Amino acid sequence: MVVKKYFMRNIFIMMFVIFFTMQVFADDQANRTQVLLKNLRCLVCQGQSIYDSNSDFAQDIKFFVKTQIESGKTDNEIYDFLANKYGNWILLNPPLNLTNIFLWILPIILLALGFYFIYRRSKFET
Amino acid sequence: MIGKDFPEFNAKTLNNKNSSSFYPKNIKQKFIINIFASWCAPCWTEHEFLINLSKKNIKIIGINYKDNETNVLKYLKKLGNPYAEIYVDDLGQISILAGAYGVPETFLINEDGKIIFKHVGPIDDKIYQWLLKNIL
Repeated sequence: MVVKKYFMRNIFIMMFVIFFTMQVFADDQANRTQVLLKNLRCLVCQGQSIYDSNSDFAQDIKFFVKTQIESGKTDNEIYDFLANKYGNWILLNPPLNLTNIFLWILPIILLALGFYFIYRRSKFET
Repeated sequence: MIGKDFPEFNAKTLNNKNSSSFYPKNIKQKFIINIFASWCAPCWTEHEFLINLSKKNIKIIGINYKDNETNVLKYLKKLGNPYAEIYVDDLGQISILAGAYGVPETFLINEDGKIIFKHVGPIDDKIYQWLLKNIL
């Protein structure tokens, strides 16, 4: 009777652990999908992410991302694939590369030029 | 996508319920891929141009996007069928592989299976003339 009691208790604990692990895994996967979809631009919408849009295009991308995650692809592999198909414009946080580096450093150049002109002007006035 | 290989894919065809593989490089001639749906109004307007292209022996492969089989069969019966083969894209995933935004969308593929032209939206007379000039 005691053996049966412990057996039932262990089965219950095992089931609880399995259920809890599955729940955590499912939540983790859902969060990952959500982050990915929020970082992708809906190319047929006005200023919406894929996550926020219900257009056909957005639904196709949502399904694509879900199946890619299920097949074990990493976030970067999914971003790279979509950027390869649609260009970096689909990424709401595009990577720094040779084609867009000028946009990133332009504010620094303008700031440096501003300081340079202020310096020259103050030197000229004194 | 211009200059890149049009992707290979596996999908069921409209005539045959079995899955079939599509290898663009095996076609060995310039051809057109047209993504369409019977529910898409601009597809109706461009259909006449596709019929004219097919009459000039230009091979056109159709990708039927998220459509209802009965409706697409009625559509083709009413307007004519310019497609050498039609692949069914129930979930819009062939379109993603092709880098398409929606329907209609048309690609011109060269003998090596590379995309040499892409047009988003319905084919009009200007695009039709351009396609004729660059395929024949």
